[in-house]
Amino acid sequence: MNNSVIEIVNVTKSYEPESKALINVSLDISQGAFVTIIGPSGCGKTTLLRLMNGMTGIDSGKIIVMDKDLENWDKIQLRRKIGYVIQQGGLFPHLTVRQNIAFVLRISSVEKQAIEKRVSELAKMMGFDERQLNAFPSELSGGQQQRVGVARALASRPEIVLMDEPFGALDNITRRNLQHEIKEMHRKMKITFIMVTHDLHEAFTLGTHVAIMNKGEIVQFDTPENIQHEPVNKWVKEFIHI
Amino acid sequence: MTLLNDIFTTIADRRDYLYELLVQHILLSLTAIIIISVIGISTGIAILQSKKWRQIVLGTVNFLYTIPSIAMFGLFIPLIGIGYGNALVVLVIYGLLPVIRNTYTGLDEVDPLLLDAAKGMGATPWQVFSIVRWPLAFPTIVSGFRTMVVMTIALAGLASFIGAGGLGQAIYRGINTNNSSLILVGSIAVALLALVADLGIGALEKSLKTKARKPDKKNRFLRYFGLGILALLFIFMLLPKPGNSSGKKIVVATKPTAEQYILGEIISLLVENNTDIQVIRKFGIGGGTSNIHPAMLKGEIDIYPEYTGTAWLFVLKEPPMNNPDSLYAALKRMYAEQFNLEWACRLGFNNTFTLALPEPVAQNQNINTFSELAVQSNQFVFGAEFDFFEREDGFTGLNKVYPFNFKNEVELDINLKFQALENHTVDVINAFSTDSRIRQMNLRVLKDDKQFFPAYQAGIVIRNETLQQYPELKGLFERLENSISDSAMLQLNYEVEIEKKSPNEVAANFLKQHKLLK
Repeated sequence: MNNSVIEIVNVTKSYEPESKALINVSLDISQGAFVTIIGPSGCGKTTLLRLMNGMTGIDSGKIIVMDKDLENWDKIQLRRKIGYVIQQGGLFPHLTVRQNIAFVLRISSVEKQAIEKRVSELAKMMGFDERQLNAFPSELSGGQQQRVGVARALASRPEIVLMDEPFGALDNITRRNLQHEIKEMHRKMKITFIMVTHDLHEAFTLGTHVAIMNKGEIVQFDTPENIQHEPVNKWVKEFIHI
Repeated sequence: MTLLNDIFTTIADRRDYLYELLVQHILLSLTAIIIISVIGISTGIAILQSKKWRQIVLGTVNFLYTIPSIAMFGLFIPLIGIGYGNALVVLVIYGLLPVIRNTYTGLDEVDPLLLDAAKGMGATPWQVFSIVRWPLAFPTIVSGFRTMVVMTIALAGLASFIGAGGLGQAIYRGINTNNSSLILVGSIAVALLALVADLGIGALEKSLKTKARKPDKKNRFLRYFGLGILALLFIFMLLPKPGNSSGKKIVVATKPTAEQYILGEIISLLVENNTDIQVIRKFGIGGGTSNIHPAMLKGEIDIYPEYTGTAWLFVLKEPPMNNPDSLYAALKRMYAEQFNLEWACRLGFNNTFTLALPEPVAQNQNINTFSELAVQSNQFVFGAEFDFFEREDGFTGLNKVYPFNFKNEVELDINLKFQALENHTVDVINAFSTDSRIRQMNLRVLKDDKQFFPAYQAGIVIRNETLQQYPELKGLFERLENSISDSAMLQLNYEVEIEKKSPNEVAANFLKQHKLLK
């Protein structure tokens, strides 16, 4: 693949000496891809995601993010360039929707006027009105909260957005709508999305590439079509047809 | 309604005194609150990281919290002495627990997912703390702060016990001089102060909670109301302490009895009217001589009224001596040699144990002395508190010198003695010779004709260093030599304890009568 934006080479990571969270993982993600990572719980998919913005360190191997070895990145600067959406949105309950969206800009000391302008843009894009911007997260529905989380991740115009089961806690209808929205967003913005999910349908409809993980290893990484037509082994075949 | 009237009269009569106490109270509480907040919050933050330290710190403050406050004040007297510093230390120790605990709990309970989100978006550790963790913990921290503030203001009421002033002094003085409206005024003032502070913080807290939104009218009102109250309290801090112009000052202390308050005022007024020295009154020190004497040696107190018997038996621990004049001569010499303290004068009265019976009975039976009572004692029932019967220098010893043969001997609670006499449950009681109730109930005090009870002659003790520092004090107290007889002191006590006049007023009148006050 050309134009790789994140390149993971032979990475091993363990939290305890005995049990390895990731074993010899390699992954090359190209600019503009939408990579979904899926696998049974405890397979290491969240750990893999957290390696990419330095939230989790590695034991051995190498990670190159935006043409620079992760070790040489100032982690704080790097994280500000990468959008980050976690389970249930991770919205700050004491800040308004407006303040939540502006968070990354605020901590990066962006000028107030520029922040306001960017928040208005995002609000327009996501369809938030003034009342909603001034509300607290708890006053919004679950789906709306998740959309605030996405808007917040996009605020600093990142090249990469990491998402850890962002729609996990939502009802089916809201979830499908949001999946549709995010797919549109990806199509328009050419941002690299990397999303951890446990929902097969989500992984295969959203992803331009799907990484299937099991027990700390990437079993198969390919386009959804290729995986469906040529699963590498019996386990993958069974896993995707459950 | 009379109670309400009494309260208003008390406030009106003692406006300046109460205001001074209020200022002292606020000053002490506010200083403590500031220190507690700084130490408590930083400790609460510090122990977040280390489980070991957390256990040590929380265990220690929890333990300290269980020590009764009175004991804690007493505990620090040998270390820090009496007064403001001691009170401050004790208040700080008590206030730490709620602040440390709530700061720690509040910060610890913030959802780790939110901290992860902030960090993952590129917040520095300080930004994670200041933008996310601290604000989310804030309501819990404020509620600990609120508890602490109310507690500190209430506890500061006990500070007067060790001479640190404050509204507790009014309560304490009220108790010691049997003045219930003064007790009430002091208590209400403390309660109101705590309530006002609590309301102020509460209002501020409420307004801060919704700070994120554009402040609406009610919110703005709450914020100004809260800030206003806190600002008002703060202004008190900046007020100059009363007096303090010449820089010359001495500390006059007393024990917690009405008689001592009066003597303390007599001493203070005499100094204030004849010199330009400012007098700091630390009246009603709890524990009396046992706390005042060490403070005299340390120089924290300059002058106080003392009784010869107490000094001789309790401080010098000398065996009893019968002749009061030779006792005084020896006492004066030993105080100068051992402590560098000067007995400036004897005031004239002797506040010792005596026996008393109703005047009409005494007149009827012609009883003036212990010996005369002994002869007719089989007609009377004798009442005294439990320990009077127990002590060798009490009834047992007394009986060896005077052959009493009472019809019955009744053990009574010390506070019910006079009541028992009024109810005719007993006929004769033991009493202190200057107890105002002797006059109130028209009792006759009998003469200890064989001098069994040691003399407790009142005098004035002053530090020699103070006399050297302020030569103008020399000879001043000698003017009081022999100026107050037993019956005169009894009258002064009566005016304070029964007629509810203030010790200051009674002392001033006394000095005017003796042409000692201009």
